[in-house]
Amino acid sequence: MVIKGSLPILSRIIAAIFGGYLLTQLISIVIVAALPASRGESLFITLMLSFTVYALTILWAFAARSVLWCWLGLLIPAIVLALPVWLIIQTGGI
Amino acid sequence: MILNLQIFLTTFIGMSILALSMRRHAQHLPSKISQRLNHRRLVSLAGWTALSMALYLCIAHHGISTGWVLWFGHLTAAALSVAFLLSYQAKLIMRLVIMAILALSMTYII
Amino acid sequence: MKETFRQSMAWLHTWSGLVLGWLLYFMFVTGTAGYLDTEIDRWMQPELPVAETSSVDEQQAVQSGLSRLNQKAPDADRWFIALPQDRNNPYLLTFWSGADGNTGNNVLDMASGEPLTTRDSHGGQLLYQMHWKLHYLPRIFTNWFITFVTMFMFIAIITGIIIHKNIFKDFFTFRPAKGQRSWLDAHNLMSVLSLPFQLMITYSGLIFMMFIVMPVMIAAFYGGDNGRDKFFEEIFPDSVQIEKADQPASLTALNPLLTTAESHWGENAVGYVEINHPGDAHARVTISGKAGQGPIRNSPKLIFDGVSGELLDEIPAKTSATRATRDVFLGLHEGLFAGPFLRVLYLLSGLMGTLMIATGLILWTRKRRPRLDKKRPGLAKGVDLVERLNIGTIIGLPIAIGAYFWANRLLPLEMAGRAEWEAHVMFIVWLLMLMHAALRPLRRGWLEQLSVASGVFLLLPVVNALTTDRHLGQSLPAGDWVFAGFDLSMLVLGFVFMAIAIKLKNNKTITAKNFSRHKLA
Repeated sequence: MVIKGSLPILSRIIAAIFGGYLLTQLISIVIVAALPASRGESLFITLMLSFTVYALTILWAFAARSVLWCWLGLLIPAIVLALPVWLIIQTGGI
Repeated sequence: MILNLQIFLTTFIGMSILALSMRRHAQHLPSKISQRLNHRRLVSLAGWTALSMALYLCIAHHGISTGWVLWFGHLTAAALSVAFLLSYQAKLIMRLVIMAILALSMTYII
Repeated sequence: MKETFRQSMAWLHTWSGLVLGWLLYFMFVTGTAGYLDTEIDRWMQPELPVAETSSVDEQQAVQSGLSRLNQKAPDADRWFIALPQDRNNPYLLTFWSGADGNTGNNVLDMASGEPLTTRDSHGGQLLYQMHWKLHYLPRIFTNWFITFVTMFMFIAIITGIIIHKNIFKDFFTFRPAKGQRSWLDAHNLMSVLSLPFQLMITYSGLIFMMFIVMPVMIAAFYGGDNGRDKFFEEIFPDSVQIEKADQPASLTALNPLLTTAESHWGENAVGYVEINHPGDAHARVTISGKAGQGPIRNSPKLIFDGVSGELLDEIPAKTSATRATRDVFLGLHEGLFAGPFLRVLYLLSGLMGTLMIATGLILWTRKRRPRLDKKRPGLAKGVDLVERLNIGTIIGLPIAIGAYFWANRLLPLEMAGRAEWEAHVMFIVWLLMLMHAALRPLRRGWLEQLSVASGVFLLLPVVNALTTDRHLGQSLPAGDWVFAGFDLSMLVLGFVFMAIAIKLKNNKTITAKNFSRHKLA
C-alpha cells in the first residue's frame, strides 16, 4: 500500500482521535437528552453506547474519500449539533 | 462433567457437518459420499440443528446468561478442533463424527 | 486517500493492530493469566494450606476474623471479613483500612483463627492487575492510555471483519506449511473462531473505563463541583456511606446478625461481612450474600446498625435493567462466574486472542520481507524493528513471566521488598530479552529465545521441587490440583516452545540468509 506523503495521514489521525472524540461527546449529549428514561439512566445507557459512536467517527475519518471530506464530515455535524447541545446544557439536561 | 462432554460432542458433530457441507472441505470425503452432499442446504441444516441442540442443552442446564457463554465457548473449541483435523488428518473426520454420534448416544443411554 | 473503502479499512486494520500490538499482546497474556489468578496466587505462596471451601462454619469464621481485626486494627475505619467460598475466594480473609489511608490484610487459618504467614509476594493478582494498571506508571496516565489502546483493538477487530472477504468460506480453512499463506490462515482462524469472545472482551473493557474517559458528557448533565458525585449517588444508591459520629460505642454481637442472614438466605450463604466505623456510634454492619450464579455477580445485602444490631435495610440482588447491562458486560469480561470447564474455554479464547495478535505481528513482517529493496531503506529498517520487537515480546514476555515465577521460588524469603522485586525481575528479564533480540541475527534470535523459553518453563517444576515440598511427587498423589495443575501446565508450555524451536530449526526453506534481506549495521 503506497501512501503518498504523510501529512494527509497525520491530518486524518488527528481528525479521528480528537475530532471524533469531540463529535462523540456532542452526539452522546443529544442522545441522552432524547432518551425517555431519567437523566441518570439515560446518561448511563449512552455512556455504554458512546464507544460505538466513537468507533464510527474513526472509521469515517479514514474512509472519507479526501482529507477535506474527512474533516467536513466531522465538523458539519458538530456545528449542527452545537446549538442543541448548548441549549441542553443550559437547561440542565432533560 | 458428562453434560459438558455431551455439549462438546454435539457441537463437534454440528461443526463437522457444517464444514463438510462446504465445497472446499467436502473434497476430503470419499467420492461416493461427497456426491450425495449435493443437497448442501439440507446438510448444513443438519449441522445447524446439532448446534441448536447444543445451545438448548447449555441454556436448559445453566440458565440464559451462562448458557449462551458456555455455548459460544464450545463453538470455538469445536470449530478449532474441526479446522485442525481438516488440515492434518482430514480422512479421520467422518470416522470421528460417527464415533462422536455413538459416544453421544451412549451418554444418554447410560 | 485509498481507492476503495476496503483498501482504507485494510490500511486502518494494519496500523491500528501494529502500532500498539506489543502492548496489546502484553494485555492479552496478563489478562489470560488472570483467569487463573487465585491459582497462581496459591502456587506463589506455598506456605498456604490447600483451600477448604466446602464445610465452613460461618459464625466461627466471622468471630475469628473479628478477633483478629480487634487485635490488629482496633482504630480502623473499615473492617472487612471475606469467608472462603470458591476458587475466587479460597481463604478466610480480613482486611482493614484507616482514615489515614493505611491498609492491611491477613489470611486466617480456618481452624485456629491465627494469621497464616507466607512469603511476601503479590502473586497472580499482580500479574493480572498489570493487565490494566501496567506497572511503574501513575494510574491517571494508565487509565487513559489503556482505554486508548483498547480503542485501537476495537478498531482493529471491526476493520478486520470488514476487510475479510469470504469470512464464512474461510471459517475452517487452515493450510499449514505454505509460508505467508499459513500465517494469514492462522491469524484468521484465531480471530474468527473466537470472535464473539474478542468482541465481548474488547467492548466490555471499554465499558470498564467509561466513567473515566467520557467526562465531558457526564459534566454536561452533572456539572459543578460535586456533579460527578451526585451522578454516582444517583445510579449507585447503595454505595452512599454514613459519616462517622466520633462517639465511641461498642460493636454489637455479630452472631445474631448472621442468624438473621441465614433466615433470609438459607445456610452457608454469607459471602462477606463489612463493618464501617467499628467502635463508633454510627457503626454499620453490612452482610453480603454469596455472588449470584451467572455473569451478574450481584448479591443481596443486609445492612444493620452496628451498635444496636437492628436491621436497617435490605438490598436485593436485582438492579435496574441499565445497571444489569453493565454488570453483565463486566461479569462476562472477568469470568468470575465460570466453573472449571467454562474457565478452560475462557482460557482457550484468551489464548486464541493472544495468538491472534502474535500471528498478526508476524504476518506483517512476512508480507513485507519479499518487498525489501535498496530503494526503500525506511521499510527495511521498519521491518527489522518490528521483527526484533516480535522476538523480544512474543517469546520474551513469556520468558519474563517464567522469570517472575522463578524469582518467587529463589529470592530470599527474608529479603526486604521481596514482592516488588519479583516484579522487577520480570521486567528486567523482559528488557534483557528485548536487548538480546536487538543484537542477535534474526533467525538465531528466534531460536535462542524459543530455547530459553522452553528451558525456563520445563525447569520450573524442578525449581519448585528443590525449594518447596509441594512438588509433583506430593501434589499429584494428594490430589492438589492447584499445584499439580500449575507444574503440569509449565511442562506443557515448555514442550510447546521446544516443539516450535525444533520446527523452526528443521525448516530448511528458511535460512539465515533469506530471513531478512537487510541487517542493521
